[in-house]
Amino acid sequence: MTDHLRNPSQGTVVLDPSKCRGHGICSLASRGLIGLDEWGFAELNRLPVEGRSMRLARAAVLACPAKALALELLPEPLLIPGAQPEPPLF
Amino acid sequence: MSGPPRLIAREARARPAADGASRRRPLLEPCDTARSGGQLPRLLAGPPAHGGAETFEQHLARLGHLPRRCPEDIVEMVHQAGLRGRGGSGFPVGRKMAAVADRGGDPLVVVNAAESEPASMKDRLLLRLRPQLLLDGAAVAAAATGAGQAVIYLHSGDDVLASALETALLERTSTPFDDPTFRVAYGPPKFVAGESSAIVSFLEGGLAKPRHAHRSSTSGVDGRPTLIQNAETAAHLALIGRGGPDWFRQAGTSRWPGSVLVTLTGAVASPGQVLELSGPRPTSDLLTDAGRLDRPPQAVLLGGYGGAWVEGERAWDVPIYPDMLADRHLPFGCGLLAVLPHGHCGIAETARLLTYLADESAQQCGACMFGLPRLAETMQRLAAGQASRAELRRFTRRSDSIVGRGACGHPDGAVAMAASALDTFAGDVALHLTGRPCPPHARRGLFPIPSHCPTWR
Ligand code: SF4
Ligand code: SF4
Repeated sequence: MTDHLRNPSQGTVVLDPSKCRGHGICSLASRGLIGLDEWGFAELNRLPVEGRSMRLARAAVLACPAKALALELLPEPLLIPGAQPEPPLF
Repeated sequence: MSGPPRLIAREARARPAADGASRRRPLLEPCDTARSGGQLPRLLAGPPAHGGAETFEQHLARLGHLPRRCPEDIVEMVHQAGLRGRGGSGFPVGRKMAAVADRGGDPLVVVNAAESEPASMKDRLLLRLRPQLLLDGAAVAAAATGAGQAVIYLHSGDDVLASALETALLERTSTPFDDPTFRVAYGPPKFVAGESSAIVSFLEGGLAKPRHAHRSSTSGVDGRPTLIQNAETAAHLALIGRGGPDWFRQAGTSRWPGSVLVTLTGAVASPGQVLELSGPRPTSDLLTDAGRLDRPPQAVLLGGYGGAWVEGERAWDVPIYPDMLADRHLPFGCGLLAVLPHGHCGIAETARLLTYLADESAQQCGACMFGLPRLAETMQRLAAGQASRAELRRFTRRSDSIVGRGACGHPDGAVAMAASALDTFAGDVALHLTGRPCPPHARRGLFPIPSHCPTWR
């Protein structure tokens, strides 16, 4: 068993930007951990979190009415056993 | 491996005799054979352009039947050939094939002939003149992955292409190489509708809009492993299936084997001209030979409308080939070289392109649907001599905040193109900031922009 599965206090918040409707509730729920852009859309791509920020992130994920946020309980980069990393272009 | 001799033998006859000024639109002109090592044309070999599409009979007479091979051999062959996707990503095709084949289930092959880049003509040209190469390529991909079905996906609205494809399908009688069941799908003529996750969504009966973090090789149309290949890639597969990897590697570079197609547009002799390259050639070569320019233009837009502007003098010596451009951090993209002449306002042209790209947003992601129109507005104001320094600073800040925040790469391409314009046309920017626009004749549009299609189905 790898470390990150034993230690679920680490993770990554992932946003699906095509689902985000700019409600901004994630920002309130996470006390600003998740920022908003000038149009009110969550301004993040992938955000590694742990400990306290992990708790705030979890609140944001649960609060998002568009279900645009997800919490991945795997550290970056996403490692799947046996999978080869993508080759560089050259 | 000796390769298909007929392919090369035909070349001498197919090539136009000299640099004939009489040909008005030499759409099928391959570049100089001597300089490119006697390798061309490959994809563009065969009957001349004015003859229309090569029929199945002519195609077989020229190239012969595809030899039958087992799936593992085909995948291995494509691996050895080192073929990379020609749709812009450059992903190794053998790896993608293997991923789909290994997944099992009921795989599906899609040939993406929806050439979304308005100025790029290479896929359109292949579809119009060499549709059988495309279908052969789909058959090779289907055999490699064990797919029983192949979809040819293109934008609706182009009747010439549609009828070329449909005729080609009807002509295709029995082959010793088992054809998959072919299906033609017409997506909406939108810029992002040719993105692979948008194609999957469309083929599932949804809107042709991109999806976030989507991997079609493992979970494509209705969850089936789906191999999506660009039309030019498919055409290469048809030739690799006959000539084999060693023959294929005789053209191109070690990092980018095989020939590539490029399109010239803008201030060249025949905008929309497609060239086949069998190795890196400096921009100056292409633009003097085929484009009939005698000196560096003001600037060249490389890679497509989401590509990068390069100052003409600098572009002049740049060798055009995907790997060579990548070394210089320049995009090859769809292989577009769009030439901006002197005396034309690059900022005005950029504003047009940016407005088009903003209009083509799938309206799903906030940064793309609200950000791009704001950027386009500022660019328009800049071209009109109305923008202030503060606005330009806001432009840069906004650009930074947009990058990486779309479900697809559409906004990133637009932002990169706009940023390269501010660099390349820095002199004009400074002038416009003092409140002076370019004269009207310098602001008229140059590169093609299609009309807006309102529907996503
Ligand atoms: S709460 Fe959800 S929909 Fe609203 S801004 Fe945050 S992520 Fe987007
Ligand atoms: S980034 Fe733009 S074009 Fe891409 S999916 Fe989102 S809204 Fe659509």
